[in-house]
Amino acid sequence: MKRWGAPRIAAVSVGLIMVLLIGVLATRRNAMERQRSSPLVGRVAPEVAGPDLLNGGRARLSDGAGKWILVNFFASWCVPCAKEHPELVKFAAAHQASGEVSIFAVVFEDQPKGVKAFFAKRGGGWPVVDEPRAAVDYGVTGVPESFLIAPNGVVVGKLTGGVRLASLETTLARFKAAYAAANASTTVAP
Amino acid sequence: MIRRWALPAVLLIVMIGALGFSARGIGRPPTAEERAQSIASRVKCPVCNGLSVQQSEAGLARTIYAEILRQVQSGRSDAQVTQYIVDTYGREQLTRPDASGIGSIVWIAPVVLVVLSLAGLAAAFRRWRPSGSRTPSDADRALVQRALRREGGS
Repeated sequence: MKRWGAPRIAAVSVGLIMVLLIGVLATRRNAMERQRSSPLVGRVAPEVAGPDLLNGGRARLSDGAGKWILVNFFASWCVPCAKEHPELVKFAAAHQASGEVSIFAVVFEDQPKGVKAFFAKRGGGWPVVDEPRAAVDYGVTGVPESFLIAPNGVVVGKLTGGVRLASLETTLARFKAAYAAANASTTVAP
Repeated sequence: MIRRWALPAVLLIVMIGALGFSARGIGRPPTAEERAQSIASRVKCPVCNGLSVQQSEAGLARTIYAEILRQVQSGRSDAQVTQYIVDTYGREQLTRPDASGIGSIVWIAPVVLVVLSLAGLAAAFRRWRPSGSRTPSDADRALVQRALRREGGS
């Protein structure tokens, strides 16, 4: 049997380590994937409570328990938020009669004055809560970002960037079907 | 005589003073702010490039720091606060790679590489060490004699 010298053993070992390192890097999720996914999906949505800038008083996310809730993080200075807002208005109007879907907005690094002006100009009457901590609780990295919460209070999806009515309805229908199939189990697979 | 020792004495006093000043924090438990700063230094700022939450002045980084400080002040341990960040932003948000599973390779690989390099150097040095007798043989002596004769003849 041919004897392997020290240089050859060292070269093979270094090569093996390099292959393993490349494997680690290749199997890591990239920035876009990380942005689209959330560790919260499949877990109970963190509570959000704070002053309702639009309707006065305090609003709590848990007040909407038993409904599908779209938690929308937004800011009045954010251009994609302004673009998605009419879509959210249509989405809210489409589900107003059934009452099974609602929107819960959370202000992201913004001033109450700007938020009020934003809604006065573009419409929408859902709760708009100013609670900076909520962005950290939901792992928000920028706006707009939305989270879909099932009637059992579990986060089922994260939507990064501005939403469109058609894709929002498709996403909701998909999760509704999965939720019905899972029969209100704790986790909902799309 | 006094002038000769004045400068070293002043330098010695300054050194002892500096050591005492730098060591004054040793032995006391860290404050909530110090713990929060330490945790924040291990969390990447989500909206910056290459900065930790502790280093960044971005609004979101300041909000994350405020939450870390709030949780530390409410009595949560460093591990619990770090786990909270992992639960909300994911493990990738930590500045240090995961030390378990496949991610542990990034911790193990450098150590293995250093050990292999040292082993390679040791093997190379052993090979370079002159082997055999250092006493010249008769053939060596004859060779030198021939060379000297040639030198003398030229």
